[in-house]
Amino acid sequence: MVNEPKSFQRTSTEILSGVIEIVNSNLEIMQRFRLLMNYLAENCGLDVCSLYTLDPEKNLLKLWAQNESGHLDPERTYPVGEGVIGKAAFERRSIIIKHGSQGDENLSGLLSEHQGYLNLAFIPLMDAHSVFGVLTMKDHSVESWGEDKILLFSVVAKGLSVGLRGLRLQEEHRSAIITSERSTKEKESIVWELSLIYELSQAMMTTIKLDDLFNITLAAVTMGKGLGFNRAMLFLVNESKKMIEGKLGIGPDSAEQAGRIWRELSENGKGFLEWVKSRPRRWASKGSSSIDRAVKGVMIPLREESGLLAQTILNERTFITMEPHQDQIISQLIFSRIQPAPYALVPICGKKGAIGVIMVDNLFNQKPITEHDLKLLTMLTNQAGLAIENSRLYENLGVMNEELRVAQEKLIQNERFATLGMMSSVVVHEIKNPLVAIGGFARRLEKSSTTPTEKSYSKIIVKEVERLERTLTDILIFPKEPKLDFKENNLNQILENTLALISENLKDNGIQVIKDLSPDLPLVYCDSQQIKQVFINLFSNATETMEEGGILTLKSYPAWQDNSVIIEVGDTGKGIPPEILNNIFNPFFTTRDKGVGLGLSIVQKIISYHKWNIEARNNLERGVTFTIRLPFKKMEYP
Amino acid sequence: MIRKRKRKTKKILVIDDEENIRLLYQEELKDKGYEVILASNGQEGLEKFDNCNPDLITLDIRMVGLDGLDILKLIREKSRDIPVILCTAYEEYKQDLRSWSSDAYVVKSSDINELLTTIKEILK
Repeated sequence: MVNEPKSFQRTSTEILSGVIEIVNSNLEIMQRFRLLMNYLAENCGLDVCSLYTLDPEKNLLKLWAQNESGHLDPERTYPVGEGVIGKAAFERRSIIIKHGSQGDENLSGLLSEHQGYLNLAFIPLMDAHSVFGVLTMKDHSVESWGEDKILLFSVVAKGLSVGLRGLRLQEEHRSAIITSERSTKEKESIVWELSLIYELSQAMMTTIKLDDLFNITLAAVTMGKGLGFNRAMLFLVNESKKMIEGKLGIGPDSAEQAGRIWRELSENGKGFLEWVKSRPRRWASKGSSSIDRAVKGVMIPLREESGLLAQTILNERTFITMEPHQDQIISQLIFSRIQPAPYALVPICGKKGAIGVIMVDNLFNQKPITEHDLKLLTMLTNQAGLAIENSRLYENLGVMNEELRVAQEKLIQNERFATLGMMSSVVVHEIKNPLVAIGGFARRLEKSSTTPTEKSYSKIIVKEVERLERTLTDILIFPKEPKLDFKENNLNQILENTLALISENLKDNGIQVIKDLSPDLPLVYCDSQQIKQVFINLFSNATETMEEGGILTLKSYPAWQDNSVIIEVGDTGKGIPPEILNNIFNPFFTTRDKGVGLGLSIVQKIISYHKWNIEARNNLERGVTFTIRLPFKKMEYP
Repeated sequence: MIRKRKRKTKKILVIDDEENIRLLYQEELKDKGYEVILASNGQEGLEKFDNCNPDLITLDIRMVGLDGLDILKLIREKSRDIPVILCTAYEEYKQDLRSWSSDAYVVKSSDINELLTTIKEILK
C-alpha cells in the first residue's frame, strides 16, 4: 500500500516541545507513552510509531506502546539480535531505510514482516551502558524521509532513552526494596528461630530433672511463642529394656481448651524463657489430660516391626503423614484414645544417635505441617536430645554415687566386723570368764542375802552382767558365718524352749506372755540352735522395749494358701518411728542407749540364711510385731 | 520292808584355769550335793582323773599348756565311759571334730543352771 506523502506539518522544534510536554505531564506512565506514540505518528506523518522495551533479565524486546491509528504491528516479542528490531538493539545502532535509497542486502531477509512500508526507522534507546528499548517508525509515504526528520527522530529517541533509563532505575530500585524487605523478613525469622533455640537451651539449663526437661521441650514445641504445634508427644528409648516408652503428652483436650490456653499465653506477653521460668510445670500439672494418659500407656519394643515410632528412631529420619491411621500401632495405642490428626515424627538425637521421638500434630487449627516446621522442630529436638542425655548421665551418676556410698558403708561395716573378729578371742577370755564369775557369785549372794537391800543390790549386779553377756554374745556371733545344721523341727517346740530359758527374766520385768501356737504347724527344716538365737534376740528386744512391763504375744499358724508358716512375736512397747522402720535390721543401728545394735541384725542374718523372710510393723494400738514367714513344701506336710 | 540303799555321792572333777570359775562351780556343785575335785590346768586334771576316779568331768577348753581338747583325747584313750562336759566361753569349738567325743557342750554363763541341769541329766 502506497500513500501519498503526509505533510510534515510542524517544525522540529514545535514537535520536540510537544514531546517534552507529554513526557513531563502528570499522566500515568503507560498513558504518557501511548500519547507520545500517537503524537509522533500524527505530527511526523507516520503510519506506525511503536516502542519496544527490553526486559533485561530475559533479554527480550516487547511491544510496550504504539500509536492507535493505522495498521498496527502485532503484539510480539523479539529476542535481542533477532529480526531487525532485535538487530538494532543488539548492534546498538539505528537502522533507517528511506524510500528510494539503496537497500542493505543484509537486511532483506529481516524486513519481510515490515513489507509494504517505504520508510522505516529502528532506533535503539540506550545510554553508554545499556539498551532500554527500540523506537520503531514506519510509513508508506513515497516521499523519502529527509535528514531533518531523521535528526528529529534521533533527538526524540535520545529523550526517550533518558526517560526509559529513569524508569529502569525506578524499577530496579523498587525491586531492590522488595528484595531487601524479603531478606529483612527472612532475617527476622532466622533471628526468631535462633532466639527460640537459645531460649530453649537456656531454659533447659535451669534444670537437670528429666521430667522438667520433657515439659520444657514439649512447651517449646506447642507454645505459640515456640513452634506452635497443637499437640506434642514425647517417647524415649529405655536402653536396658530395648523398649520405647511414652513419657509425656501435652496439648489441650478440646478446641475450646486450646483456644483458652493460647489466648492466655498470647496475652501475658512473656518470652518463652520467662514463661518457662514463671510456670515451669504449667501443663505438667494437667497430668491427667487424656493425651498424657494415652502417651504414658505406650510401651513397645524398639524394632522395625513396631512401626513408625520405632522406625523414626532406628533410621533417625523425620516422617510426616496426612493419614492418621497409616501406622497400626500409633492408631491403636494413641488415636484410639485421643482424636486422630495428620502428624509428624521427629527423632530426638543425642550424641550417639536417636534416643527418642517427638510426635506433633495440628488437630485444632488444621494448619499443614511444612518442611520448614520440621526443620525447626529437628533443631529443637536435637537441643532437647543433648539435654536429656546429659540429664540421664546425671541420673546415672546419682545411682553410681549411691552404689558407691552403699559400698563404702559396707566396707566400713566389714572393717568393724574385722575388728570385732580380732577382738572376739581376746574379749571372750578376758571379759567373759570374769563376767561368769561375777554374775555367778552375785546370783549366790542374791539367794543367800538376808536383807532386802543386799538382795536388791545383788540383783542389780546379776542383771547388768546378763546384759553384758548378751552384748558379748551378739558381738561374737555376728561377724561369723553361721554353719547351719538343718533338721526337721517343730517351731512351736523351739519357741517353748526359748521361752522357758527367759521366763524368769520376763517375769522379773513384769511381762505377761500370751501364746497362740497352732497345733497344726507342719515340721520345717531349720537349724534349731540358730532359730533359738532368733527367738532369744526377738524376746530380748521386746523385753527392752517394754521397760514398764507389758504383753509378749507369740503366735504360730500355717498359711496353707501360700504354703508357708507364720510366726509372730508382738510386744506392747514404744513402737518404732516409721522413718527408721527400714533401718532396724542394719548392723550397729540402735535407738537405745543400751546395746550395740546387733540383735536384730543377727535375727535377719539367720533368717536370710534360712531363706526365710522377716518384717516388722507397728501395731495399731501400741508396740511392734515381727512376722517371720517361711515356706514349706506342701507335699512334705500333707 | 524295803531298805533304802544309801546313794553314793557323785564325784565331779572340774578342770579350769580360772580360779574364780573353779570356786563358783565348786560352791554350786557342793550345794547340789556333789563332791568336787578341782584342777587348775590340764596336767593336774589328768592326774586327778587317774587318782580320784571321778563320776563326771567338766572341762574348760582354752587353757595354758594342754588345752581341753587335748585332755579330752587323752581321757578318751583311757576311758570311753567317763562323762565329760566341755564347758567353755567359746561357741566355735562345737564345730571342732575333737569336741564330738564329749557328752555335752555348755557355753559358760553367769547363770549356771544349764550346766547343773546337764550334769543332772547325764548322771541320772
